[in-house]
Amino acid sequence: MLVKDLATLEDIKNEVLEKGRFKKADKRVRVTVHMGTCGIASGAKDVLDTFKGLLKDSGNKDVKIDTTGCMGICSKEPLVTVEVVGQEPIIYEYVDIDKATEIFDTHIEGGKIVSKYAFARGRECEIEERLKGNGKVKSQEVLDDSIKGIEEIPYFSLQKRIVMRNRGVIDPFKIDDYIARDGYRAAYKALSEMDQGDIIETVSESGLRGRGGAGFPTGLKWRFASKAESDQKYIICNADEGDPGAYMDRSVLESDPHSVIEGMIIAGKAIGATRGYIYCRAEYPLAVEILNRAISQARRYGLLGEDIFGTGFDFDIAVYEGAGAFVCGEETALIKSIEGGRGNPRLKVPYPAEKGLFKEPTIIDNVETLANVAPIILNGSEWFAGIGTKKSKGTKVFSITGDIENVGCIEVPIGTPVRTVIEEMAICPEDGKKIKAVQLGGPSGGCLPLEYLDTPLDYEPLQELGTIMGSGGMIAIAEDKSAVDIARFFVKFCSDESCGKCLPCREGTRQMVNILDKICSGNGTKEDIDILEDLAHVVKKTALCGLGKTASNPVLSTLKYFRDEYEQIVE
Amino acid sequence: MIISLRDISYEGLKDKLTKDDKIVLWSCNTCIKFCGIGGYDNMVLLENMLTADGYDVIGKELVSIACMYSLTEQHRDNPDKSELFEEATTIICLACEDGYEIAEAVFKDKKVIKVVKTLGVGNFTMDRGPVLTAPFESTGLEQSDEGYSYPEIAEKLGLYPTFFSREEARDDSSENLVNININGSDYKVKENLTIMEACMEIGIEIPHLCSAPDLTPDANCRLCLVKVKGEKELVPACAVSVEDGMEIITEDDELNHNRRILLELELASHEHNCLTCHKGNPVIAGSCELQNLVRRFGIKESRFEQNNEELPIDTTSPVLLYDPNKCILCGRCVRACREIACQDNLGFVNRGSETVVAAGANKDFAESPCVTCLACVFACPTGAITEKVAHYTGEDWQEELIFQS
Ligand SMILES: Cc1cc2nc3c(=O)[nH]c(=O)nc-3n(C[C@H](O)[C@H](O)[C@H](O)COP(=O)(O)O)c2cc1C
Ligand code: SF4
Ligand code: SF4
Ligand code: SF4
Ligand code: SF4
Ligand code: FES
Ligand code: FES
Repeated sequence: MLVKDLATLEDIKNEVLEKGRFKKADKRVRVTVHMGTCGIASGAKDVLDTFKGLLKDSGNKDVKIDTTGCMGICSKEPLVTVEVVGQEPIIYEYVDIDKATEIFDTHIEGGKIVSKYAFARGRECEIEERLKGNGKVKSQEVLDDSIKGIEEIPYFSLQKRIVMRNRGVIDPFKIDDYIARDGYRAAYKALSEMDQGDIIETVSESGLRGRGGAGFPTGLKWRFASKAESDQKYIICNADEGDPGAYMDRSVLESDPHSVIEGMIIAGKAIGATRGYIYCRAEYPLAVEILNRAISQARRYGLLGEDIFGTGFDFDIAVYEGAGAFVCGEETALIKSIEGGRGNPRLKVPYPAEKGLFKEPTIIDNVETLANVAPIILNGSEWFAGIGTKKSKGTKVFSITGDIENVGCIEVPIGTPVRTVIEEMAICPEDGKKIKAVQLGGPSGGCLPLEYLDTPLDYEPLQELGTIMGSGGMIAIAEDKSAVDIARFFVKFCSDESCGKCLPCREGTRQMVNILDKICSGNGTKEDIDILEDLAHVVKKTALCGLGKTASNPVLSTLKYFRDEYEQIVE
Repeated sequence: MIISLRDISYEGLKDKLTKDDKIVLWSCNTCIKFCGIGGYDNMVLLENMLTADGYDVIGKELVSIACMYSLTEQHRDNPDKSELFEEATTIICLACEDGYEIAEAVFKDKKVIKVVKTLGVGNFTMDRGPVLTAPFESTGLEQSDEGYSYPEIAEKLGLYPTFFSREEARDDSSENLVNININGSDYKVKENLTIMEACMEIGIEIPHLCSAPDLTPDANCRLCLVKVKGEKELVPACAVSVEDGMEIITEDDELNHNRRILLELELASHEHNCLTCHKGNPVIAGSCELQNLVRRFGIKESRFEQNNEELPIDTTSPVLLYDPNKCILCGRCVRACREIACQDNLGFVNRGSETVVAAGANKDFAESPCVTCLACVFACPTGAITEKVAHYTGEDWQEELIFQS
């Protein structure tokens, strides 16, 4: 079937809603196992198999078992949602085979909630409705109000979902699910009602900035590329996500691939590109599989391919599995890699927007950046510009890890103070150790000590303090962790990931690791600290690409805020 | 090596050209370069002269060995150059007569112009430059162990002892110039030059290792970083062109400090023992550029941990020796092999501090499809790739050293 107009989208939406995937079930119970890579790693597959086995054995025809991507709170995984028609959905945490069996017997078959395993009541995408309805959603009966409503949990209630709008709700393998959540309407609007200028204007006015690290205004980048003259232009989605501990992009790709595809179609129209690539890390096999499935489904509906929506616009996408090197996420190296060369960065000039892939005008946007595009087109630039800070609009997804209770992916308005995230959402465990710093921005980032915890999560304020927003890694560091070890960990990462092209990065990071090794092993001297600092500054000033330019940040920021720790070790 | 002398005046050359000709300069990088005629610099000089006189020079091609038929064909068939050679109507050939004949055969549809007479075989000597020892019969000259020097031959045979000189061309002041300021002084320089080239013309040297005039810039050694007013970051002089009004600082305490640290990093990356290195003699031409910079910056030792890992030396090539322990990964050989030899025999393998240059598909030179043209030897700034015949052997130490190619 080809989707050529709004009416068809509407039909699909109604059909899905009718079938009761989101409201009434023709079945009585819907069990959803949340299966991102993270969930699978903690045993979600076993849980899914258990439910399937029990269901088969029981012969119960009333139960439907679904899967979705990650729910965003990975530390509570495996998570399972059980929804009985007419009742509030119940989210169970830390589900294993035994608990699954108990939940199946007691809740699914017996109709009684297993409160001791319950994490929350309700569904994430209904938080706003629940808040309005005083913790209730119409036509959903509440069975056990001793369980927290999801809107009462700050981890969820303080989030603002734009990029993650469909997380935990839709099955990433089903395009109809996406359409039922108003998917591809923005693409329809952009293709049939807007011209290139309108789209670029809307994205520019929304204030969207690139989420891949540098925060470059997306609309401006698109404008450059749209002005470049050429028969062939490209749009590349950068899904190389290589920062240790960062998995925001994976989370988006695994739970909502069409949001990225739709963003790319709109970007394609905006700059006049007919071909797109998604450069995905080879270490993300699930994401690659989901993307390929999503692309072929979109093709079957005619949402990719020729004459999309009958507008005469052609656009198609291919997934390119990256070589797995961190530096391949750098745009010029990424282009080189797709072209089949060694993934080394080059000088930025000429810019890819003028001469990129195969020497044609190319824009490279991050996964999260692209996932923002459809909502902006659909809801307008003013709506988006109303969220965030003066200079930076919208939300940012962070993956929070470290010495905290709630580990996972969160999406908050830009400008949210670091403290809110760490203390209210992530929560420092009561019996745990105190946090002394927060590392932001992954290996290119820096540490923010406790006294700066009120800093807003925004590009410029963080940069002023020697760290960066980066792609959104956030690690809480407990007081007994050594700042020197942390610096060493990240510099070692950069040293291992250096492409080896330029001297300061290739040899400079190696020597920084040598000096840090020496200091950590107790053989360092005061002079070593000085040489380290000197070297770190020179590498930062002289390296060729972003990897080398930022590789010193962890050293410089820990030296800035925790110099006493360095000095204590060498004494 | 083959000895050739120029046999045509600049006026004579111009007589063979018209202003409609689309000219490509074709220059051999081997024997004729040591005869002071081919190579890159002469090609640039001739380009400047012809352009000043209103001729249309549309391109320059440096060829590692012009007298190798297959190499010449590969240059012509290089997809990156197809437009250039399609458009060209005229080739001025800065190669020996062998090289010229091959060019004529390969570019059948074009006017190919010869500028030399080839006289026989000879040597390059330290004191007298190229000398002709075994003249062809046609020259009427006797065999000579000592060899005939260029001024002698020129006089005897009525040839020109040097390449064309700038004085022969009209001095064209209509050339497009831009105003720049370097280290506080104002200069007018030609547009389209890189900052490094502009400085070189003025006589200001910017430290560099990875760039060379005849290679595309790669900006990986970072020694040439300079300050440009208005730029947030330091700018690689080898890769960025001058612009009107540019204010550049090529040297100050900060820049030189960066350079010192970079050189120290380089020294620590491998064992550099100049005493036993084939490029280690600083008094002869073509000595090591790394050593030169280390001396210039007065570096006594590296403060960084010395890497003592020894990589195997590749002695398998009949003409060159590759010692990765002396390699600074500047990539000049890689680019020379690609751009001047029109081969793709050299490349980097591994990543980060494990990176090394390797021949073929990471094989020995002998097993690689190397055409032994020596383009990489001439390009290498250190003792990593050296020509075997130029090595000190310890034998015949009393004899005067003679370079032969
Ligand atoms: C070493 C290095 C690694 C990078 N890795 C990524 C990455 O994994 N994903 C990404 O989106 N951007 C990455 N970037 C940033 C990209 O170069 C580029 O700025 C970004 O993809 C542009 O998209 P945006 O404007 O949407 O942020 C990296 C940059 C550097 C220097
Ligand atoms: S900074 Fe590092 S990663 Fe970037 S080009 Fe230089 S060596 Fe390669
Ligand atoms: S390569 Fe240069 S610096 Fe290294 S040993 Fe040889 S001469 Fe010395
Ligand atoms: S590797 Fe061989 S073919 Fe390449 S430049 Fe060197 S000598 Fe010539
Ligand atoms: S072999 Fe020589 S030219 Fe090649 S990278 Fe090493 S130092 Fe540079
Ligand atoms: S001049 Fe180079 S081989 Fe003849
Ligand atoms: S000479 Fe410019 S970076 Fe090496």
